Amino acid sequence: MVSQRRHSFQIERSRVFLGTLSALALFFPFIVIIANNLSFRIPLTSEVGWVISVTALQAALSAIFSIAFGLIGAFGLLALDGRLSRFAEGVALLPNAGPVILLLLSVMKLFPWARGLTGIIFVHVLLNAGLLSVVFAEVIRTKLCGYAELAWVEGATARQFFRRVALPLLKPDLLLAFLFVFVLCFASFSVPLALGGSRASTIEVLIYQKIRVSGEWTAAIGLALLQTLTLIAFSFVLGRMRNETAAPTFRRIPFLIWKPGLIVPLFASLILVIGLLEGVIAGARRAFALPPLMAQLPSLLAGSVLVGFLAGLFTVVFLLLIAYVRPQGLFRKIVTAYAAPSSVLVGFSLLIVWRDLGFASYVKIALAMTLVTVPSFLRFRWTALLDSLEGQVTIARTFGAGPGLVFRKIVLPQVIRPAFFLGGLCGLWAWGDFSLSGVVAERTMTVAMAVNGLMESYRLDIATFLVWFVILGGFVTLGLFVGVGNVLGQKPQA
Amino acid sequence: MSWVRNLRRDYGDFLIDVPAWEILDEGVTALWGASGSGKTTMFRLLLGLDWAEPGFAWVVDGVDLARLPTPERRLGVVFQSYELFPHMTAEENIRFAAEARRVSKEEYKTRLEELVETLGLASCLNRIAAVLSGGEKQRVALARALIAKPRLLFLDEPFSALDAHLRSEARRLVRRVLDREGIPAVLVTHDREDLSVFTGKVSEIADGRIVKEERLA
Amino acid sequence: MGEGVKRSALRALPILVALVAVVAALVYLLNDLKGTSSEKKLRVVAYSSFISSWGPGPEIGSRFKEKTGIEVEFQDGGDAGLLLKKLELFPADVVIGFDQATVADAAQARPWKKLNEKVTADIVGELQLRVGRWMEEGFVPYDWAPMAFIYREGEIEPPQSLDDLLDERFRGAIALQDPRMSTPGLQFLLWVVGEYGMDDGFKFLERLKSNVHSVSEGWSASYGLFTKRQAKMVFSYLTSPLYHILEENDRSYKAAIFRGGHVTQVEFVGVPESCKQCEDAEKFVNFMLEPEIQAVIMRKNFMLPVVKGVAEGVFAELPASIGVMDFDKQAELMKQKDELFSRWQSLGW
Repeated sequence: MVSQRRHSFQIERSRVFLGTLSALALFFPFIVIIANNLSFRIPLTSEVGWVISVTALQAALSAIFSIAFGLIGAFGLLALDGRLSRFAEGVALLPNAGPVILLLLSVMKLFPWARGLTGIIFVHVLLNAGLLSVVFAEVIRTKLCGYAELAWVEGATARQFFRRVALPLLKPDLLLAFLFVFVLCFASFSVPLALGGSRASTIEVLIYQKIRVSGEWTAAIGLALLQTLTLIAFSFVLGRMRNETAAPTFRRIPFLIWKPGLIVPLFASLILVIGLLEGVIAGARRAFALPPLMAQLPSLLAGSVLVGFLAGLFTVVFLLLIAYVRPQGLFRKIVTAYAAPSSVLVGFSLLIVWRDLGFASYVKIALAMTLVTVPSFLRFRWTALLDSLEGQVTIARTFGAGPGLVFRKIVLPQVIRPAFFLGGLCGLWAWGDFSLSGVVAERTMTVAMAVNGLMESYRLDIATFLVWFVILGGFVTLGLFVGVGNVLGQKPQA
Repeated sequence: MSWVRNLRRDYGDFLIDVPAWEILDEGVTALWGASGSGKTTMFRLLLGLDWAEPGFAWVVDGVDLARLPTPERRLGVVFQSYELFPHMTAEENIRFAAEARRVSKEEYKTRLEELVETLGLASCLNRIAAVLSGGEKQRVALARALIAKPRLLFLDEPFSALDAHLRSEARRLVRRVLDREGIPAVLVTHDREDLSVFTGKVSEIADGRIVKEERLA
Repeated sequence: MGEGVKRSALRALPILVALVAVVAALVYLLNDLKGTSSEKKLRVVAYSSFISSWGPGPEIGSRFKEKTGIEVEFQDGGDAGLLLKKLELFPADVVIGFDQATVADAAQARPWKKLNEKVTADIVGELQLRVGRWMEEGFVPYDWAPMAFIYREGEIEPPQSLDDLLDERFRGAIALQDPRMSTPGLQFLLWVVGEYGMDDGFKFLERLKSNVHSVSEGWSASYGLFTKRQAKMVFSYLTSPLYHILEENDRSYKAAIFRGGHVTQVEFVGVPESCKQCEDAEKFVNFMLEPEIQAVIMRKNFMLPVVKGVAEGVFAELPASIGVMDFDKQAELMKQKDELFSRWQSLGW
């Protein structure tokens, strides 16, 4: 047994090496911060325990509702084809692109009843249902279409199909989605705070307070560890979340199409756009009346372009590295459960090891965005995608293919498009980020940072105007990454 | 002939325990049993996809395969679901196995021609694997497994995914290929019918143990 | 064939566009950064809105260079807790932006240079009395403002005291900030607790709850809720209406003046002991107190000057008195911040 294990160990040295490397990269913020401070303290007070339980309730409810609406939205997206569906998917991602406060402002204006716990869940659903719709539509296309056709031919009703076939088959994906949204909402604090009524305290609030106001780093690091451990424990409780094989062909699926479902992914974007349109003209006028801002705008735009592109690129590289490694066993579990620590800590860990300023700061912002984003991609999409290739990898290995060949010929061609899509998504979010950027950068370097700075000096209207640049730039970045992925994923014609 | 010795693995709720099992040098050595009898587990242990407990030995031509990692065992395999690489053409699928085993270009060319002829692959060679029919997939999977002249061909329920009327034809085809290539095979099946066309022996497996052996006519 | 080529060229377009965009951004930024790499520079750390292109920072920097020939490089330090940690990694010559609540942490975290006395000569007398203790430690105030509730004229009858806030007419009207994450939020909590005492203060807040529209994590979110007319009143700076007057020509924003006075926020600048250009740093601090620079800070930061005789125009019209609460009392309360925060949380906003 020992010799057997050692053998397969030796032959896959490169996987082990790169696996270790990617784990180090993943846990990098924790490693650096703990090594640098040499101490952490978990402030286990009754306050912390209480906060965890309240936060967990809020996050679980938000996740359940987001999934329900995400599914409905997916049925809507599936009713469209081709370009129209691409467009709708792009719109569905809109609510994630800008500062949350803008969505909040619109919600408060249009839905005055959305306060307290109801309001928090409502806004969390608005934020996540669109993204989930896109992901579920994709999963249903690849996973269910064969069964749907079969069931359709055999005369099953949509309801029967949904309950007996679709739900059981989608269960692992739904669990993954639950975990994904749960983690996001667990860490969200601006929404609970603004809508109130829920005793809005998330662990993130505590961390923020410890670092920013009190400067108690040991406690903040302890809390971040506690948050991560909670999430890991949580995903262990959820159990194995392996995905079954995916059927790669896409035909139109007879069931699970429901055009009205389109309302879900488009609704949140509509709300956001209504909010963003209000006062945008006045904002533009005032922006032009603020010469220093206009003079700075080209460099802000260039900064955002660069940061968005680098964040996307780093994400692609990281995901492909993981695709080479194909994490197994405990490592896989941990990779799937890991959530990056609070963004302040991620940003700070980069500052500790890399102190160059100026141009390096752009690279650091992009790296930090990648470190924060990749764990959720791994948990939500990437490991499941790799799992679906395991059968092919197994057979390639029995033919004697080494990890290099397996990666080049089997894995890479089948994951390059989703890798670039997720890269583009990270790029989109990098366009919209200001909090992480604010920790890493030594001055206002991107449009989103300027948006935040403007809001901090009374100029909400100008900020609203600039958010349009953020949204457009983010979507162009996403579009370019998807395009590049399509080009690279294209088989050269024989 | 080769002998498998002390193949054992305790999974807690299930035990594979095969003190000695002979795999014939010619024809088919079939592993027959109901589902849940342990035949697929045994198949995976032999391929090295799962590890067996210490003491396991499997000497073929003076080489103990048990001590080699999967890629170095030089086995050909056809899985129940064929597992063709969906993004490649049929020919690319076959070429992949040749590249993995470092078959030279010239040899690959001659081997491919032989196999295309024997298996009747000419018409589907340049089509993407994802769109091939079940029968075509099976033949491509066979060609892929045989291209590098493996020591042994492993067939895991190779006919079960086919329609009933295709099955008997497919069995005869496999028989013909095996005879022509002179490669011994291990065939795992739950369907006694599958064995009707082959020569060799059949070992019945139940509860993780070989309980009965018979010669095939 | 030709069509095939055309199609594959079209497919390669995204790569091309992405490359062009990134190269253009790179070239622009490298060019942009090239100009800023001279040797002897004064490194000044401040919070982002102070050093933003539309904030007071750049103008102060360029005027300082005009006068002394010394180049100033501004760096974003973030909030106080983060700023102190960043100082360990990136040494600076001047640090701008502590307030009376965070200056104690700063004094404790690292040594600061005791500044030349003439620096402090011109500071408004009353203010000097209040912050004298911190000036001895090396921190010099550079602007200040009382904190107040801001409302729109005609929309609501303004409150005249803390007790007034409990009135029916403010139901769901008041936007506050979380004291755990925002300085104005902390000021309000200290104000209430300082005024009523710990137990009665939290009883007051309990009763205030029904009048609170929302508690935001930061000042900007709550102020946004106010300007977007979601909340009718926001806790902010007494000087906030001046922004609307000067930048938007809108005179409807007013600060509610309380009979008993207001809490006050004072912002400090300091020179860390670890400075490299210490002399220049001290020059810079002096420079910040010169009347014309005080006017820049006043106009761009919308805060009051600390030096006598600078406030003019709308700034001079403000009924500004130096606050109801002395800073030592605040510092005393801050020693119990864990209790303050946990009681704040259990109010359940």
